[in-house]
Amino acid sequence: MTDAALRSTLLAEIPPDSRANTFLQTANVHGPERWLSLAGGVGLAAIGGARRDVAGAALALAGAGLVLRGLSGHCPIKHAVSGRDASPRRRAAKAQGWSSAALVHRAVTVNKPRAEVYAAWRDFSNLARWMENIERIDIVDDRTSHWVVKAPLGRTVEWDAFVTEDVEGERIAWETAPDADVHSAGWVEFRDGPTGRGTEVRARFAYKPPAGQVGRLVAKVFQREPHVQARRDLRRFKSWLEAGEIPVGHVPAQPATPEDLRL
Amino acid sequence: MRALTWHGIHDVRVDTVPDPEIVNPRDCIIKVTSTAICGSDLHLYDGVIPSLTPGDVLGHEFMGEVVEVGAGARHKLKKGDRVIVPFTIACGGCFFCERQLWSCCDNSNPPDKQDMAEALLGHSPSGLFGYTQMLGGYAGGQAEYVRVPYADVGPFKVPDHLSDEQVLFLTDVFPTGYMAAENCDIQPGDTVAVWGCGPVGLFAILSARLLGAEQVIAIDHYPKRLERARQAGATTTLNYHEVKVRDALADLTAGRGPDSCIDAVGMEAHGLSPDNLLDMAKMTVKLTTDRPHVLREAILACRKGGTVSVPGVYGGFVDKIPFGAIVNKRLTLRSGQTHVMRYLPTLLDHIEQGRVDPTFLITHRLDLEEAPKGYRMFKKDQDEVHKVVLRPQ
Repeated sequence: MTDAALRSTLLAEIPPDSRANTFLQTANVHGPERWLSLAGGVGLAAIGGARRDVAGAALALAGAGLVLRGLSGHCPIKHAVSGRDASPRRRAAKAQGWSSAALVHRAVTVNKPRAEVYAAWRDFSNLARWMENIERIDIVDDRTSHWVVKAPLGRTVEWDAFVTEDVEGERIAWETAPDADVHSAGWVEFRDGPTGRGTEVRARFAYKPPAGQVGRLVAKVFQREPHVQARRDLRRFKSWLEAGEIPVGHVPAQPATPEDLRL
Repeated sequence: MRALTWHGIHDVRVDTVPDPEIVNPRDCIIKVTSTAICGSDLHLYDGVIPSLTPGDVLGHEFMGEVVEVGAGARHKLKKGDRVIVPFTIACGGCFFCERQLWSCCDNSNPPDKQDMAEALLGHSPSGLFGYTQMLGGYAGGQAEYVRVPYADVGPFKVPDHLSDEQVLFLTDVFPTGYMAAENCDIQPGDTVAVWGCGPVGLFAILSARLLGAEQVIAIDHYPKRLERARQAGATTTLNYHEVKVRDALADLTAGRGPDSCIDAVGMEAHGLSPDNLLDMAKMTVKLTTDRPHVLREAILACRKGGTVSVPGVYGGFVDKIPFGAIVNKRLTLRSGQTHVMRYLPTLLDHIEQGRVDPTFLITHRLDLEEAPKGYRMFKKDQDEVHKVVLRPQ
């Protein structure tokens, strides 16, 4: 594993995961190549469609593939041959020495002074107040904490987290211990927003999906996926600081008691 | 307690549901004394706004007595206070609340509900009472009791010498109509045209006069609503079954067009204009979310450099808006859920001084138990039914 500073540099190059997941980010067919692909595809499909035999069907199919390649600007074959190591996720996995990595990036603006926002985050005993799905966080010492977090299907996962960097009012970085159930490394940064706009909070981290990329999708279905969680937790952090409490809209209906039903 | 709950399209029922409880320190509980059915509740009744779940308690125009106050709101409210409750929920601490843009509050829509709002709208607006899961899933006010979050920000005390019916519409339709008129930035000599003479349209007409409009033209097709528009201060009324609206507006303004146009109709326009018939067909097969005939007409009718103000509710991605007219005529388009709290002192003063009597629009008074009947009537006969006020017993 690389040291914290080097890892920070590597992670800093990583674009937000939300962009990495779109065709735009993975576009690898550009300019004339893209238009040729589109035009050639249409031509092939037309020739293939005119021939009523197996070869015609194959030509039409190949044409459709080229059209799709032209429209999306993404070529899976080209990606597989040349682009693998360029994927931000793969770069992060390589940097961490993990088999695979998922990246999370999310920013939020908090209408409070930077010192207050930083202090609220740095006091890890606060984290469970606004982070969802936290069973508990034990503070071991100033730099070490033990996390017990709810996972899908009623299970929990645990890890020790170490603060690897702490610049007062600016930045807190962490990584998990080697024996963590879920490995992660990342940081949160605090910056003054433009005049009158409060503090900009940016969280960015990489984690090793416990059951690979398939597990990540399963977790997403259960809304316990870190990307979803980070988005909501940052909103909760903001609400907690700005409104002093975290809003609750729909209160899950308790079955009416017999007394209620008498009314 | 008893509450009006949504179960599906044209299916609302009064059910027994659990009493609300204080959940957060800044919550309070209101015992509802009066509540109303809003025109925008009919959009929910018709099922044209997404993300209601069966059993959701509707209602966002309500007032009553404070019966319980959380520790975080006691500096502003106490048991026994008589309050009206703004339909937009606001935290008071975010960028938007600080600037009195209450309906844009960053925090009142809970974090897990904001995902859907962000996907559909780009950003999440404030939470609303009784108005879909996407906007918070907060139980609404057509009920015996309501939990009111951030009770030190929203609930507004009203004097005892004013009746419920005099102040109830401060919760939504009066400030909504007022903000629609204020958005027109009315200048001396202005003509304001108002489409839709439901409660919001009527209050927009009345407010446009209060703010100095010289001519206010009201447009609807229900004779009794047009009669009320005259009561509210409209100088001219147009029944679009009898006249061509754009021709009539051009004539009344000698070709200039109204200085401001207010769309107080929203996503479910009536009428048999070709564009609306097409929208109706598309809506039936879910190819579009809204029927924006009025918005189109308002944009085309508005004078160059004028303002189109939209208090009407639109749900999604609206088709075939003549945007070229907005560009080439340099129109200003203004809209928004209402920043209710911003207008309350001014509007209460209008009521107290007798300049405005909001009770004129109430046509029906029902027991909360009869609320489903109220929805049916309101949906079926908008000529007779203008505003239904419900009272829990």
